[in-house]
Amino acid sequence: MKSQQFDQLKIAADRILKSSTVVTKRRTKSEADKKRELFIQTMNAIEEAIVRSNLAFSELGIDYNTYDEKFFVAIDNLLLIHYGSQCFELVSWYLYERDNPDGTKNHLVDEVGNEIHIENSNQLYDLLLKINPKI
Amino acid sequence: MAKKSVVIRADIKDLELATADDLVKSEQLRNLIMWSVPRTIEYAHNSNKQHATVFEIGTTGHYLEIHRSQWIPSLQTVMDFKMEQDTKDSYEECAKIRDLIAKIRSSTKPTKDEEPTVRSTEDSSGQNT
Repeated sequence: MKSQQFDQLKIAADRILKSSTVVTKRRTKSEADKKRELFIQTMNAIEEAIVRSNLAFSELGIDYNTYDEKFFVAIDNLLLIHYGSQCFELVSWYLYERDNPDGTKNHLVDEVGNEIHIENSNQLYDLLLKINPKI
Repeated sequence: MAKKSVVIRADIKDLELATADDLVKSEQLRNLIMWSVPRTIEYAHNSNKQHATVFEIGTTGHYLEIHRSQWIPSLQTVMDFKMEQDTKDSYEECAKIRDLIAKIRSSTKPTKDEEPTVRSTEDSSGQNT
């Protein structure tokens, strides 16, 4: 569709509404963008579930661990199937081993001794892509 | 938290051939705008957005939007249209629109934003026009 058609539609909408409208073009998300977004949402949801479970125990004395365990096992298995063992280990580290009880964070060290700091799930996804670009 | 809004897709008949005059006479377009505008402005206001997305134009990836500065005049036009319909449902909708206008007015703070000029759209070659 040519831009003049959008202009005609804008003019018509302005006349119908008796106010000013705009026609904008949005960048469509690529498959890669969508996968990244989905990964970040998934990590955030798992993190929030873990925090919620810990809070329930510390604040209310309610232990959800036994109840939640089956869900987390299922999620872990799905992550392992989809991302493979190497990426799955990184995801597990990020979810369960990165944070220390005193609030400090652990970091990774690569083969040559460089520290790798992963602050959020977006950075984690970048690292996973480096290891396995096909995810 | 505001519910996620689903932007409707408008498949307007013969859009590629129509002029602005033809489109103004289109009952399909008019009804769509009058239905969509209050809902999308309410969502945009609750979500603290600067633009309300009225609809997507077919599957083009182009969207008809209304800037915040034009929300109240647009809603007033929709209200006038509903009043003309003169039905019980339309009066109820008018009341909701009136409440929405009041809410927007009460939350409007002076901003540095000016009313935007028409944004250019890209033609098929990717150049701005």
